Amino acid sequence: MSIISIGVSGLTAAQIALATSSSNTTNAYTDGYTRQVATFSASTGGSGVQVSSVDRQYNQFVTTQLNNSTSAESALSTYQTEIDQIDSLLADSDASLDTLLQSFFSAIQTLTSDASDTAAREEVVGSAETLASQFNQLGSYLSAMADDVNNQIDDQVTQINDLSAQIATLNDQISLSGSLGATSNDLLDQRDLLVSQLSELVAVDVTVQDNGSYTVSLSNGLALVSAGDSFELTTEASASNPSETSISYVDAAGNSVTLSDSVLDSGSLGGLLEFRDSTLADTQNQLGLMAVSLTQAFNTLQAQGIDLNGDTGTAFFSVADPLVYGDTGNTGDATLSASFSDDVSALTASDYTVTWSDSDGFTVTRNDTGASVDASYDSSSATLSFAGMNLTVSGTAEDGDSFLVQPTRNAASSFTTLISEGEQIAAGTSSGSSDNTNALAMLDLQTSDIVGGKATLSETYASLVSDVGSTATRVAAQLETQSALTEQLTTLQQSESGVNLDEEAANLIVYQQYYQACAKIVEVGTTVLDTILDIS
Amino acid sequence: MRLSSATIYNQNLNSMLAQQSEYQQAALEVSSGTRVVNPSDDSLAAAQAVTVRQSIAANEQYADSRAAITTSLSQEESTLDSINDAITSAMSLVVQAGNGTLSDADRESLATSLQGIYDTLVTLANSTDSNGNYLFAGYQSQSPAFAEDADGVMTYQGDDNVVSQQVSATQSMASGDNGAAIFLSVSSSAGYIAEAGDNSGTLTFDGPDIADSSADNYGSAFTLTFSIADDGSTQYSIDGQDPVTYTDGETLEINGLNLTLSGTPAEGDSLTVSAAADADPDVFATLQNLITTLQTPVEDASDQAALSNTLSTASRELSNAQDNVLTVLTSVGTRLGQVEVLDTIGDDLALSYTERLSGLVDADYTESISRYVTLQVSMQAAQQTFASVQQLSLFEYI
Repeated sequence: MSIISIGVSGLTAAQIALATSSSNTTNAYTDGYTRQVATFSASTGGSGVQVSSVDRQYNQFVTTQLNNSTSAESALSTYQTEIDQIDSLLADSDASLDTLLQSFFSAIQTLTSDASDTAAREEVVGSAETLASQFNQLGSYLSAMADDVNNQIDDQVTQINDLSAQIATLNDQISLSGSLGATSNDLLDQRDLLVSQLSELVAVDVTVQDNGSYTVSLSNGLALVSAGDSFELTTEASASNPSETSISYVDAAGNSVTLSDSVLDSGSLGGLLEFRDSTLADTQNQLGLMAVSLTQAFNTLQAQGIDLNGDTGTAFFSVADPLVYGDTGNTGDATLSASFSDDVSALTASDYTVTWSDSDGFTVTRNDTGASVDASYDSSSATLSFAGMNLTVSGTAEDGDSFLVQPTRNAASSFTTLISEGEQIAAGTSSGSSDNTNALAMLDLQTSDIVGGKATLSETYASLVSDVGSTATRVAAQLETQSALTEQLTTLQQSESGVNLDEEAANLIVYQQYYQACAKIVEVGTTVLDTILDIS
Repeated sequence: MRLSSATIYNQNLNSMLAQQSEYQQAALEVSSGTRVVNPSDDSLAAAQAVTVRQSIAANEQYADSRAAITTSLSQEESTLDSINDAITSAMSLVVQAGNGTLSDADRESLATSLQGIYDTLVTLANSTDSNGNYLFAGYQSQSPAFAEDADGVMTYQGDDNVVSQQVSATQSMASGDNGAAIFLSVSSSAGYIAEAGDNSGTLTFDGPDIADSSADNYGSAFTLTFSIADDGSTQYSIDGQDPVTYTDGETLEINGLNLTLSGTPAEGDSLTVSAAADADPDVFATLQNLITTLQTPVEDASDQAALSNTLSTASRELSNAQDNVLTVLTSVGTRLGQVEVLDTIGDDLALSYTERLSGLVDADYTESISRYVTLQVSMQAAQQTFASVQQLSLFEYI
């Protein structure tokens, strides 16, 4: 074999190695880039060197671990972003709900000092209005958050569909280029980057097929991507609750299956769903429960008292009636309309599901604990009573029909003061203008267990603060742990696939020298040849 | 382990950012002096702080109530003092009127003085507070406690209620007393009252005094009705029982009470004895009655007897009225004393709640400043590390 051709094989190899190193160097900080290494091998028959392959330094196992960890971290970080808003909403300030509740009761205390004092009466009305407006603000903010979460779910489902489609396209391209015998490292990098982006949105399982294409599926096994096909997720109003967005999977035949929240328990989509169904709903319900309890307690006392004009007191506050949604799958035409009973001591911050069966009639379960609830049905008035509510049934329910009852979800945002004049406050129980007996009873509500029959307003607020605070703390701690794990796995993944600039600098030096050495071989070969030619 | 350049960069950057966030948090804590603002800062402390703030607010409310009550009671106290003075003056005038040497004109002049006292008492009874509420009208504070009815009789227009307020978590207290309790009542220790009817004879009485508190029917009211028997002798009957012969100067013991009778009763004359509380006590009626009697000229022995009997009854009634006012005054004083004690307890509570709240949510300066300084040092270290690590590169030497 000629020395020159041996030298040239070295020059070619050096160029490939230098190109690989240059590519590594320029992509040192590129997302999804995988370090490539040129592998040299001796040519058969002593004909020099050849670059047998330029390989991606890639570890499927570590990458999968990293993607899973990213999903979990993304869920927590989404949850944290959302709960931080509620956390700030409940921060201590002059306008926090407990401070305003105290101002309201303090105004009532002043009223008890002189029930005939119209200025003191106006003060009570004024502080009641301030209190109501703070309830409204909190309630509206939380409703807006719920809308926003539903919108984010829509957006993320769109992104998931986009990513699935792109991965499917890349699957095609990769298997095509594989069949042509020239696998493109760039395409592989792109596909892995898309999978990693998809993992941030939702937890997925990736299976590598023999032809190198990825099958990407949800945690329940439904495939989002299979070879060159992608399958879409869609969003629609939930069957049981039209105010919530639910997610469905559309299979190859075009049938859609509603996905339960447990399927989507990771990724930012999972974080959104969990936040919406737990902290957000709980906070809305708890605040609503406070508003309803305050309303019923004050209205009951007002009705027992006499106002400054000598008339029986009228309602002090009002809140919206409980929300009832009939499931869209109901076959009967029954509708339920709910109202609060005067005694709301059995009311809770939970939602309820009412189900009709032909054999057992109406059954009621609490949605938070799943426990069944005692309900009484008065067939003469077609009224179902449970948990401080009366539900009037009209129409006929069919077996299996179900209804979702949200007693206090909208109460805080609908909480209003009905009394506009101080004289309408029924401070007494007689016509005497200084009669403060009813005002004293109102003041007593401050320390009475009027919420669910077992807690004061202040205690309820304290437990809300505690719930939100401890959940936020727990999420932050879990996020910290998960972030540390992700960082560790990233370091591990990078230690194999990442570019080290010092290493590439060293490679450049080495291959430059190698190139010079090979050039020297060519020079020597030329000299040798010249020598022979000179002889002749 | 092999490190990628991106890892080195990210790790250094993340560590610097984490330091920065913690440093910022510590700086905020030092500058605001508050450790817990958001529930997530310390959920347990935040929830407890809500409860403690509620206690502080309630404690302040009770203090406000006590301040209001102190004002009302102090005003009542000084009003009651004046009422007491007026009754004392009236009593001394009654003593003067008993002087047998007085002429009709002298008595007329005493009546004029008593009318002055009566008017003063009406004014005092209709005292108002700074908001124009009548002090002694019960819940009916918008109208005068006492006013003359169509017959010119001073009548209580208020009700039997008293305004109460919550002065501590467990105690409520009346912020005043109503007119009925002050002017239309006697204290529980008041004795017995004898009152002559619209008599035409010269019967006068002395007493009643307690003779035997263990007697049957002790203390029950009774009425003596006098009649002239067919034989011309004077008789009396107790509550319509069989008549008994009357002896001038005789001391009778009825229902455990001694009553000395003298003079000559006429047919149909009467004398009623009852417990003061049952005799419709009314200081205004007593004074009105006195004034009318003093304005009536004394022309014969029966007028003299009527004058003497009225003075005797009025003297006891005024004495009872005064006792009653003093009893109310004592109760006002007791309440004021209680309020003072509750104020002290309230102040102590306020202090301990404030300390508790501060312990829950306020920053511990020693701790937070030293953490602030430590974090500052470690952040500077992170920045320096970042800068120097980024400079290290083999490319520098090619």
